[in-house]
Amino acid sequence: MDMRTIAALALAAGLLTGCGSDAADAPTGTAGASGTTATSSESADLVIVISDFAFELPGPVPAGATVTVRNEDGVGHTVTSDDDGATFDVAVGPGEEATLTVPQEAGDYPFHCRPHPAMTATLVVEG
Amino acid sequence: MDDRTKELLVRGVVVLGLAVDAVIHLGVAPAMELAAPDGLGGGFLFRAQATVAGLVAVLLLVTGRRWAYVLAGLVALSALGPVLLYHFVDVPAIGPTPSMYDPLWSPEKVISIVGEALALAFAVVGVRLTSRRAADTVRA
Repeated sequence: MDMRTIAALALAAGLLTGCGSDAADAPTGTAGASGTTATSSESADLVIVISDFAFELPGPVPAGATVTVRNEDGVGHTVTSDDDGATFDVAVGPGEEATLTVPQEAGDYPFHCRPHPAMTATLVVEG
Repeated sequence: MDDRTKELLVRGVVVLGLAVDAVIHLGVAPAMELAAPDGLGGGFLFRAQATVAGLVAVLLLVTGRRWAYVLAGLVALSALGPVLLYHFVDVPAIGPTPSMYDPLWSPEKVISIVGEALALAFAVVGVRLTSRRAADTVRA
């Protein structure tokens, strides 16, 4: 293994471990919210991805956190709590992103998409 | 059963099918504003479909004429064709028409498809019945 290979591997390792990267640029769904204290940088990592008419959740999220909703479909969707949107109701256009504020109380929050009621999931909020 | 009674029954089914089509489209229009916001907008298109279906249903109910059956069949087809197309094919936005792809089934979609299919099929029967009636009138 020559020096150039070693240098390239070291650079790759540094990139993979997030050395020098901005937390807001972290890839989708990698936020480690479970069991940790919510910080602003962690909240920025929380992403609900909508793709192929399905929700992909980041796992349990901290109470009061801010979650990004990313719509990768060609049509619009919503993230609407099952209590008729009283707890949260966020619309996100085709290929766009929106922001959802997680409820302050821990618990399970089932939600759906208003235009596509068959799209359902549950947001798990930790205290 | 005489032709007059048959025609009234057929007319009733077509009117009912179009009414179902209109009510469902009107009810789903707000959601379609969110799902298909581009171009003319899904909400506008659904409200337009509901309005036209309602008007043609009233026209058919009042007149029972062959041209009204033809119109009713076309309106039913104009709803049935797209709902099936957009269910199975991810059609992109075309000009002012937004993408309305929706591969999921919902009760509203199933009910509207049944209503539109019934309206279309019975409109064809209605055209035949009224054509025969017109021919009989000419012969008499």
